[in-house]
Amino acid sequence: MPVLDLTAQVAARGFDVTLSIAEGETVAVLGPNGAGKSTLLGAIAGLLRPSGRATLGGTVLFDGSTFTPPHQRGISLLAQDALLFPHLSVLDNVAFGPRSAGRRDFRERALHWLAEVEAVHLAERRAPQLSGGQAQRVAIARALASEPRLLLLDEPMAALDVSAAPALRRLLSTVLRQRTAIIVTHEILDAYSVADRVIVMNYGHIVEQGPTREVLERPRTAFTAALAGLNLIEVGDQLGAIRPADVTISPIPTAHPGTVTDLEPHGDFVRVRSADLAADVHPRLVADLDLAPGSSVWFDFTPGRLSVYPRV
Amino acid sequence: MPSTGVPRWIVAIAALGAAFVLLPLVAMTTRIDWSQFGTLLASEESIAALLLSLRTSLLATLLCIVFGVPLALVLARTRFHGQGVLRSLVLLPLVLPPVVGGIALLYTFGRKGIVGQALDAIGIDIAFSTTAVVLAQTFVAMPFLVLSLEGALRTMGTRYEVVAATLGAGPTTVFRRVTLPLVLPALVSGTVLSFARALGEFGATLTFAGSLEGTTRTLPLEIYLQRESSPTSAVALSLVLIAVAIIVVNLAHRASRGADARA
Repeated sequence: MPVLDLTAQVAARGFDVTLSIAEGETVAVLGPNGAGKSTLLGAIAGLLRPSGRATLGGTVLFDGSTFTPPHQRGISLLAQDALLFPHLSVLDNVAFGPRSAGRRDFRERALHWLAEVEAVHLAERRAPQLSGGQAQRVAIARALASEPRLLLLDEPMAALDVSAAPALRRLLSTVLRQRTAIIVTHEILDAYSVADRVIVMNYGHIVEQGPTREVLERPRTAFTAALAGLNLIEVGDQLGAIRPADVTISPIPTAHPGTVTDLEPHGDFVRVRSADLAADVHPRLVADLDLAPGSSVWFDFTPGRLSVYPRV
Repeated sequence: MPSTGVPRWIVAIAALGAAFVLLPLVAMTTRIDWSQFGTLLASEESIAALLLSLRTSLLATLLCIVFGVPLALVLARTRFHGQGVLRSLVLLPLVLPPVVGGIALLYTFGRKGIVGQALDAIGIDIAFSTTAVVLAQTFVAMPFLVLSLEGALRTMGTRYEVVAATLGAGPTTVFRRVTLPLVLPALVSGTVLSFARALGEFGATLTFAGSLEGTTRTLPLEIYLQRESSPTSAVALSLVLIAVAIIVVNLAHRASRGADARA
């Protein structure tokens, strides 16, 4: 029984998405910039008026005749920036939702949710005094304190520095357990750590969707494969996926010839790309074979490393 | 100052500009007869004019807030046909000669004006009353508040308001608990500008309200009259007007800095 049922079109942006989310399910939305991920969140949160129809737990969010304003939807939105109200203390920020709902115990609710994100010690501080990671922690507490039926997260880790992200990712995977949520992200790791299901978007449409591991480990489109960092090749009438680390360049002819289009350093190895395949090879090999864009090469891999699956 | 990289010739011109504003004030104080200063100010007409000015300016400022804040909000946060025209009209008194504003008000609220006729029928006569003074001051002062507040609202953007709405706050709660506190410094400075403008208002007041002692003769009008009969007392009164203006601007500056610090 889906809790969110949505069909939305925004003609001006070429956006057309149909989506259902079950109670307690966390869905990750992946895709490049301009794919329509933010439009999707905006449509659900009520920040824009798409055509189509959406319901959340039986209430109509929008259809041809009704439009429920954002504050009556029970949907919280957590953005890239924490956007804590700068004139309020951390405690008052978190209490904002319950207080707006007319709850008398807003202080207790706020303290409860601050405890959930391990930020009680910050309660009396003002928002501008917090670090990026602390502020986002408090923003999560604030979003949860309004007890939303659906939580939307728009790249919640994108604005954080690398050192703050892991702790926040762990926190999110805890608080999102059993919670109905949609998280927009660029990071495959986010999808793995918090999502039950993945939706891949491009050009305003859903191009692929399914259980997280299924979609990311057995991509059906070149686009999803690139996102998941996998090579996608045709194996007869089936598809095969293989990691660039499991592909190498051979000095003798193989079944996979190619022309180098691009060489880029990737940590302690070099990613060699052709139109069809990418291989992560040792820099020494790049030098020995004198590889440069335009070089003809043979890719090689152990068949056992290739995961083969049907197209559909 | 040169350490900040401002060219010296610009500093020189700035100094000239500052002197141009400050010198006349200094020149005026040299003409004050300090021995009679107290008696000049204590005259019945002066005190009546000062009190009337303060009373009407405060009322006008209140009206500016009551109508100016919603106007700024509507201009900054909504989109509708004719919005550009409305904005131009609201800001028109900024560029309109005050005398012209007074004439316009006369044709609106005067006994034969389009609104005045109806009011006259139920026994309300606005022109040449203290109410007219307040209306004239509000008319010329409100654009200052609308302008500074609308600018602040646009700069602030809607990001915080969107977050507040998705946390379940209705439009009125968002306005009261998020929008207003965040633009408070601009609201304070806009209010001060309006008050200062109302306090100095002359042309529209004279045209629309006249110059009746104790009823419509505000301090600027009194100063203008005294200038003919007793220049020394005009100067003394001018100094009072300047002092009041400086005090108010200072208080407001402090208040808005306080608001900033809290934000």
